[in-house]
Amino acid sequence: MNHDENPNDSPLSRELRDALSELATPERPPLAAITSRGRPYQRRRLAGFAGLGVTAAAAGAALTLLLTGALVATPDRSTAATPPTAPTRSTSTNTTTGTVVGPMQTAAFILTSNANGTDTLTLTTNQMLDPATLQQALTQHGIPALVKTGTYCTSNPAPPDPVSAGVLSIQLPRAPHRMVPAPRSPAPGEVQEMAAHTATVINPAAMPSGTELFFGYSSNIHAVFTDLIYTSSYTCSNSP
Amino acid sequence: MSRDNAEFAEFFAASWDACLRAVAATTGNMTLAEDQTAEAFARAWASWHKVSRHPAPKAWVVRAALNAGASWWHRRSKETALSGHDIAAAESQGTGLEAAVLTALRRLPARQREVIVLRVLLDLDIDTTARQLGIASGTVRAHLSRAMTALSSELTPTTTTETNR
Repeated sequence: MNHDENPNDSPLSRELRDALSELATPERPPLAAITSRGRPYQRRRLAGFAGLGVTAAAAGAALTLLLTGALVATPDRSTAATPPTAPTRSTSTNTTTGTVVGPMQTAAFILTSNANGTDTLTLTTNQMLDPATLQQALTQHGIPALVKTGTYCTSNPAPPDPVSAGVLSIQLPRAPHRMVPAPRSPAPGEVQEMAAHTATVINPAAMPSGTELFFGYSSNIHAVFTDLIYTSSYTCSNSP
Repeated sequence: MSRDNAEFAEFFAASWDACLRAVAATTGNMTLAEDQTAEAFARAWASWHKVSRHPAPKAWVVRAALNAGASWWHRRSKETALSGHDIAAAESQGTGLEAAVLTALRRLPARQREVIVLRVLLDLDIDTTARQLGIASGTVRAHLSRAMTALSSELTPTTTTETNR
């Protein structure tokens, strides 16, 4: 049986196509629903498809950190060029940002401890994120976390929404180096985008007992999904 | 409506069903496929300048829909209902041949299923299928041959003409 070159005229192929053409499908959604859903992607692309964006689900608990870094002014290019596997630490005080101890910086992220007990995570460039390095950095900053690539973990029932619970919050950019579309209120069901230089503030003290932060890195879309999970009860899957 | 929007609207209307069926055939779950396909069309709209020049825009949409992480957090709220029920959902799509086809497809390895969807259902040629999947043309041929052999053992075409086989 030769199926190699031209299988599409075979009875079996016709059978497959005919059978699937009979498959009942939901009604096609309105075009407006598609364009509304695509508008955040379009805005991101129009903004140069670059810079650090942070996307929070308007109605959901998950937070997406987009790792598109070209708009971000690298604070220290020589340090930012450090390979992800070789993080650097410094104990100097940064009076501009208010951070006081132990910043950890790699090519992919900067994690700093703030005076009020929170930590600021900034995903800096379009470098591939090394999960082990980020997990190690978070652990050293006292943040219980699980970081994985291409794997997505959730707990059922789900812990509280990390944004509503005060575990995660977003800092708008202090000084954008390039004009970007101003943030606006999202339409119902639409994701919210924020501009380059956005950082995520993590408040470990607000994490509910028995939880940890899950960070799932998708190299396909160069984004990190983060959410709370219960340390002793979660499941992971490799595909949607 | 701009020219681009008009072109996209035409593409969307003409391609929705085919793309949705292709995604459903791959995932085995119509509910999940509907969400992923809508997400992929949304991304196609946002990048229509690029997608419209793609040699196989429908394949672009299907690949985007199948992107492992793209719609994870959209799926999240549905996960409880969907978890572990993919094949059951496929079988519940109908009681006739389409259900048998979906079930047979679900039994194929994922890569063979993707090859069948792109090569047979979307009618892409071998080289385009290979580029879409990021694999060699020879590998596509191998997957296709194995998949068709496996499917032919499970499905008996009602219009069998031995001269083509």
